[in-house]
Amino acid sequence: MNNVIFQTGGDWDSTTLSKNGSDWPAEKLQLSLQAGRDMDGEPVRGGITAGGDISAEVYPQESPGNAVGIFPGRLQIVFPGHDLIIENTHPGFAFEATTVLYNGRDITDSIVEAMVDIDAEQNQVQAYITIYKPHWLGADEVATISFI
Amino acid sequence: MKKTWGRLLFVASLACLIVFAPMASLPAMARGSFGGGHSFGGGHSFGGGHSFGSSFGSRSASSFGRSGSFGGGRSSSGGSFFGHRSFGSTSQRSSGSFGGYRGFSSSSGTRSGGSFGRSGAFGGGRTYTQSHSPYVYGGRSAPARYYGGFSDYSYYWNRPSWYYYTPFHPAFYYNPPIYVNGYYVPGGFNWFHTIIAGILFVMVLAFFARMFGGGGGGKRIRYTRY
Repeated sequence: MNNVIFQTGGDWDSTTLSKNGSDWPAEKLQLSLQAGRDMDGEPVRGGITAGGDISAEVYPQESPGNAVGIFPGRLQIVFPGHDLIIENTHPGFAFEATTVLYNGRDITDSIVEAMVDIDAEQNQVQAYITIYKPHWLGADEVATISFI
Repeated sequence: MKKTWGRLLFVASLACLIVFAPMASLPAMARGSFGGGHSFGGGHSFGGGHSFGSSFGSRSASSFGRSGSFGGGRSSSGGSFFGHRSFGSTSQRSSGSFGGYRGFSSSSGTRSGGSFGRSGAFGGGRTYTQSHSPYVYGGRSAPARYYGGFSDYSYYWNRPSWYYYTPFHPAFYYNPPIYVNGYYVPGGFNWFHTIIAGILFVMVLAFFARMFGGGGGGKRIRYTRY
């Protein structure tokens, strides 16, 4: 099982990627998780249980053209003030077996979207999550939290 | 949008059904209870509601249903003005309620003043029926005065059942009776319990709206960014 950890302090010098405890030089890291939406594409409660899809790939430096999948496994994304852990250890990579933790809090049932796009070649960093927050009084909230 | 309104309508209807269905059956409950163990009306014509209209020859069931007038045996007359109910005993009765309120003539015969079997000024104080058997509340025994309507549910509090403490029973909305000058009178409307019931109703409505409607009457979503 893969255990990939991306960690950054806010600049490229402090950015590292490791796989199973070893440094893993890479050009790109891409994560896309879509969940918690109805048939019209509108956000709903339920998170992973509402269905969706997930993909996570790394483009290693030794073979930039070949994307290496992370799942089944565990991916941890660490930005200053943000700690996202996505784990799917199901042998068949069943989507409903995915668990999502943000800053130690389980948001599996409220995640709507998670997007991480680290491209060293293009000097591009994008990372955010969107979660569904139901409220008893007032409108429900769809909150997007940017990591950077 | 149509789906949202449909859900809202469904939820509102369901909540109204749950809360107001017991209320709608109150008059029937009242009739049944008066003739029962609480001995409203001193065992006279109260509680005989089922046989009214059929046993009094000239009064058909349909006229009872329309005017709500329960006539006495011999001197029944008039009916009630303004469509209010008047309950009379067999020997003497009030011939109508002029004051725009429900008139309950006493079976004891102590309050018959004029030809109309009613004392006091027109439209004056409320009439009542005083029970023969003493009403016991809080260790004190005294006659009770029944003014009719829902206020008489106040007398239920001498032997409260558990469901009197729920918003689904009318006694919940009335205070226990008050001892005044040798007799009991209804305790009055309980506004505090009414407000509690209102809050509960809103909470139930919100619960069903959230359960079936997806968030407070429709799909209202606020997008935020942090």
